[in-house]
Amino acid sequence: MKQPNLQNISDYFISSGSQMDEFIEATDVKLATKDESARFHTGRHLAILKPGETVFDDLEKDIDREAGIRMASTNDYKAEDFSEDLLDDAEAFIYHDLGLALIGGETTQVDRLNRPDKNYVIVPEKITAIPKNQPGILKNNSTWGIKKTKSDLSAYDGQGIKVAILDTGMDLTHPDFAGRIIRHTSFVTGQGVQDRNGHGTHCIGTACGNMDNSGKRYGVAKASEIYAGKVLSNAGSGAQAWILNGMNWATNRGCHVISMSLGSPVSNGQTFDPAYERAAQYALSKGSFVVAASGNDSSRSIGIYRPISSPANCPSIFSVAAIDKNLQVADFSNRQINPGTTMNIAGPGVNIYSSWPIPKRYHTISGTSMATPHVAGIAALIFQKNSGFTPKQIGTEIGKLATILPISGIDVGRGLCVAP
Amino acid sequence: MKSVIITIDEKEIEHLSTITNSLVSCGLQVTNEFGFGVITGNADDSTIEKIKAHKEVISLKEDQPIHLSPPDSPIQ
Repeated sequence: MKQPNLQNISDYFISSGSQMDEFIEATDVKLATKDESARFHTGRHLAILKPGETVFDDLEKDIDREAGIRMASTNDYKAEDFSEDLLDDAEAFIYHDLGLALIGGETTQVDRLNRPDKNYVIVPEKITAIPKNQPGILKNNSTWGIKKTKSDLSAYDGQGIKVAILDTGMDLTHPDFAGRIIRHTSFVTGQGVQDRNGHGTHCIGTACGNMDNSGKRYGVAKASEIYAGKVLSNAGSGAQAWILNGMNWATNRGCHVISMSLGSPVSNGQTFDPAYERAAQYALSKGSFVVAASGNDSSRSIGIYRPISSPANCPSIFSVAAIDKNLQVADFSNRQINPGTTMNIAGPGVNIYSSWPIPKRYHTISGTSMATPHVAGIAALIFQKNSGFTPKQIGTEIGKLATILPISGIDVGRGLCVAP
Repeated sequence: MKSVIITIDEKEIEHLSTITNSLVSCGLQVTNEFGFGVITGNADDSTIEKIKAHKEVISLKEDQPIHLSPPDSPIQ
């Protein structure tokens, strides 16, 4: 099959810097001059059945007998996904289900087909392209979590804000993070920061990522500086000592936000861990806002409600519940039960799409672990907007911005976390 | 030996190094000392009892490891 000529369109966008509207208008044959319209054609043609016509009998005969062009059709490729690469020397291809045929022959051959008495019409194949000076997104193409938190509408992107994610590390080779500022260290004995679990890369994607390879936005603070602290092994386990190391590291590196999508269950009546609280107090004293997952130990649908896990149950740590896209509490999300603990806020935590180590690249999972980095990213945006805010002021601002939900505060705190 | 997390009374933080040395003399193998008043390390049962006897120690807990769900679990 003759290859499409896409060169003209490239020249056009480099030279003129045109916008998409101009492109659409220019490629409309009825509006453009003949010379202009030719610039947006591939050199190939389409045969399209006239209204009411359903069979290509005429065309099949004409292509073969009058134009002398070798032909193939979708009937030849039913067992596999078709692409032009599969065509050998065929210069015409009939898409029976679509009622059209792609013809790659010479112009003189195609001209023999272009007659008004036929049950089809011949039109030039047009180039479809995204202008070079346009972003990849032509409509609001974001995850539900990004939309509900209005992160895609925020004027802030986390530029200059340091966000620490203490987790299973990060896939440092992930192409979505190429060019980003990334600091990293591992506190896990015998393992580097490279994430061979996936949890850490997913959380970093939500808090600090931007968009996937199709232009879908999944990250909140898309220009923030990433601090990936590995405190959980590739198997997903971590000693408390490693986590304390990570909190100390992030604090001493001046991170504005420390996000921990981790925790261990606590029993009813159990108090917070004094070592975690001390580490969090230290972080607050140095200007770091600490946020952690409230835990996934509940089964609300069968009446089981579990208390906020550790370390999210510490007074100095902002605890995060999970909600679904209908703004209902996730079945697994824990509750503020034990005295002295507070559920602070809720974030999107059901069916969350984000980055995952290569080669999988993306993954959709649920948990308060996924809700937490949404809040961490939004905290980064608030820090950017309000330079000099203390962590306590960040917490207050998150509460002010939150969308109030018709759900008890013991389940969702101040409501759904929303970007400034 | 058990991994332990020791929290020191806030009022005694300025004496943290001295306290750590005292705990080491009791048999504690220190892995880290944090300026915010937490010491991590390893100790056997008899050492743990000696450490708990220090008035500056307000908490001694065995390290509570955290375990995530497996990576293929739908809930993390």
